[in-house]
Amino acid sequence: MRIAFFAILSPIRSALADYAEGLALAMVQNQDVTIDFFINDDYQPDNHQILEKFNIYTYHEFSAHADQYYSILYWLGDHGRYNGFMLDFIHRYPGVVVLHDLTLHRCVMDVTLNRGDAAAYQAEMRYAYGDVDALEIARQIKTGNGDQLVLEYPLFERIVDSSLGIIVHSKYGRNQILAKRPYASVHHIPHPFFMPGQSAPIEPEKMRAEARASFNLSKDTFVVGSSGIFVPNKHLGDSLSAFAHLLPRHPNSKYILSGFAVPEYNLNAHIEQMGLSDYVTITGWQPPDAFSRQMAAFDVGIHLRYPHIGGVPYTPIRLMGLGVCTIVSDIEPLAELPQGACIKIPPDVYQRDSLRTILEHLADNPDFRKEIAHNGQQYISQNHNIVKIAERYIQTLSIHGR
Amino acid sequence: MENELTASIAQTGKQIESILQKVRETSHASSPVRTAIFRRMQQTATINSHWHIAWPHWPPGIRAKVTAASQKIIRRLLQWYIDPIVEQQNQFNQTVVNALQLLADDLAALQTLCQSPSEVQQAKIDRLQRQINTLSRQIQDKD
Repeated sequence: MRIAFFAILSPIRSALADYAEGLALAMVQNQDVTIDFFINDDYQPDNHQILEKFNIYTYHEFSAHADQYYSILYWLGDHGRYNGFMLDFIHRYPGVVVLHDLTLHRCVMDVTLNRGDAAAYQAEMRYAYGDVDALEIARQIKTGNGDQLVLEYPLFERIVDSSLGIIVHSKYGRNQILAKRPYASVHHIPHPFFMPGQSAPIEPEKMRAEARASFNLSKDTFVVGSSGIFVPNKHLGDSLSAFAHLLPRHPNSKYILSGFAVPEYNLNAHIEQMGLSDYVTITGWQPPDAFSRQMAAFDVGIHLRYPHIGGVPYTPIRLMGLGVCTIVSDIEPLAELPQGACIKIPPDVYQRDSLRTILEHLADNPDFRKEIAHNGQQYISQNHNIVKIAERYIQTLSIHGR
Repeated sequence: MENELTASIAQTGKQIESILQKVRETSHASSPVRTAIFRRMQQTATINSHWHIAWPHWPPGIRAKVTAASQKIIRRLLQWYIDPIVEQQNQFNQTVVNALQLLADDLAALQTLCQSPSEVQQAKIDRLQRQINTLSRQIQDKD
């Protein structure tokens, strides 16, 4: 089965690139599967493993070879600059679309309105929602009132209508799409757990020792960590506050922020203002391989997210798979993760108090922490096994092939 | 193996829920007085179109009993007309209770924020505390 895979690849700084590469490598383990990548034309892929194993073309070359593919897989998120090039192809060459976010509003806005084509944006809105004041909605989104509006008007309707199948990563996602398009063929396939650049089985203890050595951490340092791109709705203020609350009783603690903050968010100033500069390390952007390995150093990983745009965050899956005790927000896209395999904190008025109490409890009770970490790791190995999930992707693509 | 994992997750999950529940109970947002007021509001939010006529006891005297019985009959006959209005009133009452509950939660959160030091203040206190600890240790070492 020959598959055309429209995706983003490294060095694009997005979890979607990392995860597309991992999944593609797992899918071609099946001897019957061949994958060719089709990417945007404004960067050069740099992952050697991907460059060696796959043919990579720019999207301009697809139309001439479209007939050669049994199935097309579109890897779509709500980032116009990264994913916008796929939209036109989804309508012209229907295939299976992986919807990483439950709204494509900003992506559609980027490729229409923000490029001066207001009529195309209005036409999209009219197609999906009838007679609405599209330009007023766009104005509100641009002025920062967007989180609710982009979910209310997700603009995935035409994409779903044009596609042969849709893949989402949660039951919540499936229900949201079926509520708008009841006859769509929507498949729920969870995220696969894998470590970039590693094909051998993972040895969490060895990785933990290596990762901690790379940060010069002693064996008894209590390490809290958060990973990814830091934006205000990841509630780092609450996480740092809970960490600061812990310090008088656990002075030998560190907080590792593995990733970088968006330019609008002055995280460094915030840390300094809280007097935590000596205890917090921000690594900055790291290639996927190093970025993933750093997570193994954490005793507790925190990944809060609220409000969300419907996608299932990948970081908690990786943290849990590595055997790190993980704290997440109790939000709909993470409903499948059971309380006990990780710690789910509701994003309500009690969030800060809950986080403080839980973090203190975890620092005081290493056995409790290890039990959650063990449960999480076992849960991920049973439900997010990459070999099984790659097969499910292949199966879904074969159902919706030519 | 799978059952063992499910049992372990369920047991640990219970412990986590119990910690989170304790946080909610000890937080300012759940004071006993506030809980009692909301319980009372909840109880009175729902009305029944057949209450209060000869209930819980029939009134004394034949004349009063006959009046009550006729009222009951009339109300039964008008049930088709009264019930939808009562239902609407109940929905409205419930919405008001929910709105008040949300407002009270927000107010309690604001009170908590006002009473406790802000994040920045707390950080400064913690930083000073740590400096005091370090200096105390240095003084002890010198002694």
